[in-house]
Amino acid sequence: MDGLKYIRNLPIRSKLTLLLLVPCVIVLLLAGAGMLWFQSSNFKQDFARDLKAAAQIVAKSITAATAFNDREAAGEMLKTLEVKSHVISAVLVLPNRDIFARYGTDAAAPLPGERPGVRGLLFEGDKVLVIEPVILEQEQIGTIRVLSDYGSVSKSLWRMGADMFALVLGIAVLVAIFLSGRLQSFVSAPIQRLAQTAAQIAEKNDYSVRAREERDAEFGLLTRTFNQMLARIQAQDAALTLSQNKLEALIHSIDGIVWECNPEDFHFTFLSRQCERLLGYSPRQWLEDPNFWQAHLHPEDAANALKKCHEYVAKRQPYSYEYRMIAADDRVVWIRESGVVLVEHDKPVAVRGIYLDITAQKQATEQFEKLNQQLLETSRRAGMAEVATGVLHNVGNVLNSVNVSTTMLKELLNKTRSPGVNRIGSLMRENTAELGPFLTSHPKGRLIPEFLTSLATQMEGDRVRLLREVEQLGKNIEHIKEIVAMQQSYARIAGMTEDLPIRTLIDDALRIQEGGLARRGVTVRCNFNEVPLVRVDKHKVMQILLNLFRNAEHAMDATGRLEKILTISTSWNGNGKVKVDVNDNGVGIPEENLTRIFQHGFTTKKEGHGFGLHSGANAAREMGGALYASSPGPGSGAVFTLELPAAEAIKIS
Amino acid sequence: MFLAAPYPPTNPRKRGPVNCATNRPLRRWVWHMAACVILLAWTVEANQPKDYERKAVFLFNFAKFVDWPEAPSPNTNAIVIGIFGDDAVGEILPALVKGHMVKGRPIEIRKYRARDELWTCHILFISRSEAKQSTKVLQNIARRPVLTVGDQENFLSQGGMIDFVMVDQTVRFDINLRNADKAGLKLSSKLLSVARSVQKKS
Repeated sequence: MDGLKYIRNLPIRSKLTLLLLVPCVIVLLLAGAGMLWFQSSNFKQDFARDLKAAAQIVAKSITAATAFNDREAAGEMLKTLEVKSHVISAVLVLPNRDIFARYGTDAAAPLPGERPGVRGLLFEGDKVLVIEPVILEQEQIGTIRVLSDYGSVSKSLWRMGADMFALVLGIAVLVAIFLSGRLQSFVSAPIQRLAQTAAQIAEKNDYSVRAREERDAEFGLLTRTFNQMLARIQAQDAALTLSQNKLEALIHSIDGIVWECNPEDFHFTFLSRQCERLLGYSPRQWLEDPNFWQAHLHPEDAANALKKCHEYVAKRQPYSYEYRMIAADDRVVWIRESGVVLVEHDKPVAVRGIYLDITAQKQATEQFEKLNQQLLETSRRAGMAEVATGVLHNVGNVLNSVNVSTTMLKELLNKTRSPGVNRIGSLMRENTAELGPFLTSHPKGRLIPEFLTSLATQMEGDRVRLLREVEQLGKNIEHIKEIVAMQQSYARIAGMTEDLPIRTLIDDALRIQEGGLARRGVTVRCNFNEVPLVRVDKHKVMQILLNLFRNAEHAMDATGRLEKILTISTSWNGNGKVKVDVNDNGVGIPEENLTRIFQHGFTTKKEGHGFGLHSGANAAREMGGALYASSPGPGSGAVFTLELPAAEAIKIS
Repeated sequence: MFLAAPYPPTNPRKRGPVNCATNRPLRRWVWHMAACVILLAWTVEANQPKDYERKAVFLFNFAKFVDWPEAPSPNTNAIVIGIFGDDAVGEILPALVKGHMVKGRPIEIRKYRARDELWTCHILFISRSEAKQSTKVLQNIARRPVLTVGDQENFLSQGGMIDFVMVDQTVRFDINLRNADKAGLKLSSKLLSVARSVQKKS
């Protein structure tokens, strides 16, 4: 298994070499084994045949020597067998079993397995005996026995065969390695080239590299497909890069810091470049410090922000909250953090979101608040001033009466008979001694009682008239007191909600405004229906009503019409809102302005500041009501409707 | 068994032990031993062929190693071995060749007394007794396809082809190939190889 794993892990070159080499060696081994087996079996026969042939040759050539009894020649002929090194001995035996000639020894002795008269070959162990007749003219004139050592021959043969085989095998392996080295490149080279190309691409991420086209059918297809894939990847890569660049540019151009962080330790993993612009910190600086965010929170907000942060991560829901951070230049920057917790396998893996710099917004809001406050104050003052104007006008009217009364009193007092009384007083003082006589006798004195009586009568009349004037004066002063007190009552209790009859409020408002209305000759018609109490801040209602009345006055004044009618009606539709309609026959409102008139700063009046209706509508909304306008068209008057919550409906609900 | 014929068919080395290997008293054993020795000596003596026997065998064997251009004697199919002169060889030869064939041909032995028709044979053996006539005989049958075999000195120089010589008490022969060639005979190289000396063609 290790061997196989080892082979599997080899590079393809080595594998191919093995592929060529191993079968080659195996085939060679098999062929060699087969050859050896074949040779060894053949060799024995060849050997025997060879030996027999040699014996036959000798037998043929030895005939003459035998026939002519030439032992020497016969011996020499037998000796020629010595060229066969394996021949141990040879003898020529005559038919009478005499040994005619011999070479070496031993051959004459019969072998254990030999049967008399048998010719041919006899194998006995390592020895081979060839028995060959010597025939001359069809007659056997002798027998040649050749004894040979087959064992040594076969041994040497085996040794030689093995040596040869080893040599051939070695050469074959060398040749096979050489050839396989050349041949395997046909297969491995394209693969290696492809692998190198792939490695190059992987290393450099450069998809513009192309594999070399191979001509081979399969490799050609492979490289072509590979290149097509590369082209596609390249195109996709380019598109991806493009879109990524676009996205990155978008992300970096967002006027806020886009970020991503680890939900466990809030270690940031991404920050958009706006970080530098908004806070003065480079993204790298931020990313390198795991506690950067925590460390740069405003000290007052740090604890809270961290706590919230953990809470939001735990909730795993999109969130948004605000806190302050300290910028690089020690500025305090208001941040609104909006984030999303990414959950994978029920585990928060990342938090992504955006930091928006809301400092300017915060400042603007503050500014706005301040301004609003100021405006409110101004409007309140303006309202108060208008109220005061109304009040003063009323007071002025009453003061006229007071003045008239005072003049009358003055006149009355001037007309008193005090000089005549004085004269009587001095006459009586002059005549103190004889007062009685004087009163009775003196002509003048006699006239005194009469005078005093008429004086008393006259003084009684004066007294009644004076008393009446003083009463009138007192009444007027009381009226002034009332007016002031009412104004004070509206001014003092702002912001308090009460359940009140709307009619009283309207009456009070009319009373406050009555001076202006009367001056412009406006006829006020009231059409009050039975309505429930309203739950309102009466100061606000008063402001709204006074504003509406004044607007109506102006609208009607602008027409130059003599008959100016202001109709005020109340109604209740049962849905919890009491309606007050203020209807005038003034210039009316163009349709396009019906909503704009409630906008802040919109006005049609020369001295107007465009605040009255706007704050009126706001005030109505604050109380749970509404203020809206309708008009049949320019010149046809307008209706302003104030809806106020009914106390009854509130109770019901 | 042609060659076996002149030799007794017994093997003394085998016979000896068989006769002696008996379990008898010592005396009998000694007698037997003595008898064995005598018998052995006799058989060895009897086994030893005589020179004339060898020459006879050789004459017969020559027929096997020589090719004749044509049948010298159209009358017969046989190979004719002629014996000129009295000799022991001539005595034993007929018995020797009886029943044997050479090259599919029977052997015929003719004895010649005079120089007449010496050429009608294939092999002519001129015995030592006719040595004086040998020159004339050889001249007579010169250029005839007759293998002339002699048993005397200078036979080859006189025009003979094969001459028996004694070497170390063994019968051997010399060959004059030139003379054989002249006669149109072809001698086997095997024959030449066992000759003591061969006078080659010029």
